[in-house]
Amino acid sequence: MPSPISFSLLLRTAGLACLVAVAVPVAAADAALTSAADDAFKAADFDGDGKVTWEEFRNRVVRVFGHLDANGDGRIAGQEHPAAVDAEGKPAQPGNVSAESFTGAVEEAFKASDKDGDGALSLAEWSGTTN
Amino acid sequence: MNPTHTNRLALVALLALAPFAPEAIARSVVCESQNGQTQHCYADTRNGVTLAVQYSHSSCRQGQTWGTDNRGIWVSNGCRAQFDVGEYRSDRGSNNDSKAAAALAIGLIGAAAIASHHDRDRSRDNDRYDDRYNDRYTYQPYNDYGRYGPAQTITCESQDGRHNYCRYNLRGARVDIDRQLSRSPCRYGNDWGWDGGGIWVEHGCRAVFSVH
Repeated sequence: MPSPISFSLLLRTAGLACLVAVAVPVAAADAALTSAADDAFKAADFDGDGKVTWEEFRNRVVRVFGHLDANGDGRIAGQEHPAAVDAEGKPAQPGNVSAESFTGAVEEAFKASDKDGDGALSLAEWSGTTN
Repeated sequence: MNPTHTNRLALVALLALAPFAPEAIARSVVCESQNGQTQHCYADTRNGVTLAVQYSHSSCRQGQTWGTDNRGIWVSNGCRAQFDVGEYRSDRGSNNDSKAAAALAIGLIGAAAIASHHDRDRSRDNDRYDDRYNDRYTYQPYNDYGRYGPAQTITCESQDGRHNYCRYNLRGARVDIDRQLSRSPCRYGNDWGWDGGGIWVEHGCRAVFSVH
C-alpha cells in the first residue's frame, strides 16, 4: 500500500538530484516546479473544467503503463520494469506487476490526494497544498 | 419413485435453474473494441457498471468510448477494459507484487504528469521535440518521459455545429482525443471519427486529437 502521495512531492522528489547538480536557487526551483505542476495539471484536465477526475488521470497513467509494457501482455515484468523507488525512497524490487494491481495502486494514490473526496483533484490537491 | 429417479429429477431442475442463479450472472466483464469498431458485451446493467481496469492505451471515457444500455456494455475506438457489474468490485491489489505495483505507480504518476506537460509543449511547438526542461529536471526513475507523449497532435473543430473534415494522412495510425476543447460532447462515432484520410467532427465538437 503506497503512502499518501502529493503530486507536488513527486515532482519535487523526482527533480531533486538535477536541481542540486545545476545549483538552481531554491526559490526559483520551487517556482519552476510549481509552474511545471500547474502546467501538467492543465494538460491532464481533459475537459478544462478545473478538476482532474479519476477517469482523466487513469487515461494518462495507463498510456504510460502501456508504453512500458513492451510485449503487450498487460504486465510489467523483467526488462520492462524500470528501476524504481518505493514510497520511502528505497530501491524497489522489480516485480511482475499486472494491470489490475497497478490500477489498484494508482487509485489508492489518487484517493489519498483527493482530500475532499469529490472524486477529482483540484489544482490545490494536485499541487499538494492542502493538508 | 426410487431414490435414483428423484436425484435425476433434482439434477434436471438444478440445471434448468442454473442460468438464473446468481453465480451464473457475470460479475465482471472484459469488453474490447477491436480495430476501432464498436463492440457490445452482454451484462446486466440494471444496478450500474463500473470500469475497474483499463487495459487499452486508447482512452476509455464514459459516454464517449464506453457506455451501457439495457443490453449490456459497449466500447469503441480501441477501448478495452474490465467492467464490474452492479455492486461487485473485483480484487485489484492483493497479489504478491503489490509493493512493486505501488512503486511503479508512484514513478508512473510522476511520468504521466510530465508527459502531460510535455504533450502541451509538443502541441504548441508544432510537434518539435522540446527538451529544454531536461536542463533543469531529471525525473528519475522515468526520465525518458518524452516517449510517452503522442506522436503528433491535430486540432480539429466543428464550428457552429457544422461538419468539418481535417485532412491528414492517418494510414496505419491510431487516433484518440487528447483534450476536448468544446463544451459540446465529443462522442466517438457520433460527433467525431477518423479514417485513413483525416478526422471528422460535427455537432460542435472541438478537440485536440493525438495520433499514435
